[in-house]
Order: sequence, then structure tokens, then C-alpha cells
Amino acid sequence: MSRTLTIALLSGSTENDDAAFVVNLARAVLARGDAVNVFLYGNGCNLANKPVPFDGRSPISDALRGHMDGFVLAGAIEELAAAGAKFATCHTTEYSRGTEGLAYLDGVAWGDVGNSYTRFLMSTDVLLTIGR
Amino acid sequence: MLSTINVVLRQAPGQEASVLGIRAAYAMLTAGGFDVRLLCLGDGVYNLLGVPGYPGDLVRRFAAEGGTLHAHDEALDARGLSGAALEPGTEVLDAAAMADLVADAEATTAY
Repeated sequence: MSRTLTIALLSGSTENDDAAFVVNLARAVLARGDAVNVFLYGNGCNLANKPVPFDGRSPISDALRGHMDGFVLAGAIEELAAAGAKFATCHTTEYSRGTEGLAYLDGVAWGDVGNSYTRFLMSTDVLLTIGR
Repeated sequence: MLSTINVVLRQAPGQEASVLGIRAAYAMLTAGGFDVRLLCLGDGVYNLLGVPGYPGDLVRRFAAEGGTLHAHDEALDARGLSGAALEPGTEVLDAAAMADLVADAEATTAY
């Protein structure tokens, strides 16, 4: 019988391994036939939005850009959502970051602690909080 | 399925993670109907000192709604804090008793 893991992710992804760990863990959980929910909380909500490209000239070197691109998880999150992982944000933490009105990645839902997160927990077997 | 959840606070007021933990604990208690305990370790014990404003109000509302408050005795001692200074009803526990709370819950999450 499949089990459900819920993860509250507190970290953004830039130069921080926590979010990449959660993405890899979610992939492994889905591959086993289990279910996974990810609640993007605190800095985790920074992962919720579609990237907005910068059109101007950027002084970032190719090496630095390559390094930073390794932390861009937008594609991985959309793939996970398409594979059945559920993603929801905490809109309160988005509000304080001024991002609540920005477009979400495909499969990421506006949410809150009192409803989205709690609903995740009602059918969860294992709960993790990852981040700092 | 989850029934009893421990929320561990490790950071002092003024750190976003401490408020995230308190808010999650309150939501799980009041919206989810879970049995929720707030375990304050390390600098997390500062959240129990009658903090003014939203974070402290939420801790007090959590307790008023049936959530339980727990402080690690060594964390208090290391910071020169007395149990008498904590929110009313806070249970001061040693490490073994904290471990018992962890053992008999279905989930323990740390902020």
C-alpha cells in the first residue's frame, strides 16, 4: 500500500542544497509508487514562481552563470508536479516577499498553513521539515 | 496517519523560522485538530518569555486552544533563564522527558 510523505521546505534554492535535496527525495518517493506533498514555506515559497528573464546586459560570467543555473529548480518542480507531486505555497510568506501575485510554476498552487498544509497532513504518513 | 505532532523551535524570536514553527503549530492544532506540542530547545526557549506582538500572541493563543508548551531545562540553564519567567503552563523537561515526547508522537518537525 502506498504511503504519503509531506515535506515543509523552508529554504530557497540558491546556493543552498536543501531544496535540491527535497526535489531528489520527492523523485525517489514517486519512483517507489508513493505520494509526496511539498509545502513551500518561508524562503521555500521563492521556488513557486515562473522565472522572469532579464533582458538587459548582465555582467555575470559564464562560469558563475553555470554555477547559479545549477540551483534553478523550476523545471524539476514542474516535472514533479506533472508526475503527481503536490506543491502548495504559504501565501502569507509570499505576501511579505511581495510575490503573492506572481505567476506560479505549472502544478504549484496558492496555499496556506491552515488549509493546504493541514489538508496535506490529514492523509500523511510521514512528515519532514527541511531547511533553515 | 498523524495524530500527535511535535513542533520543535530551535531559534529565537526575530528569526523567521521560529514564527513559521509557531504558525504551523497553531494551524495544525486549530484547523487540523491534531494534538500538537511545542518543544522549545536551544534559543527556541526565548519564544516562551512572554514575547510581545504577533509571535508571542500566537504562542499564547496556541496554549489557550489546547496546545502544550515545553522547554528544555538545560537550554534554560545555559541562558540563565528561570522556569518562572516562561508562559504560564509551560512544562520544563529534561532531555529524557523530551525524548519521550518525541517517541510517542507520530511526527516531530523542527524549525
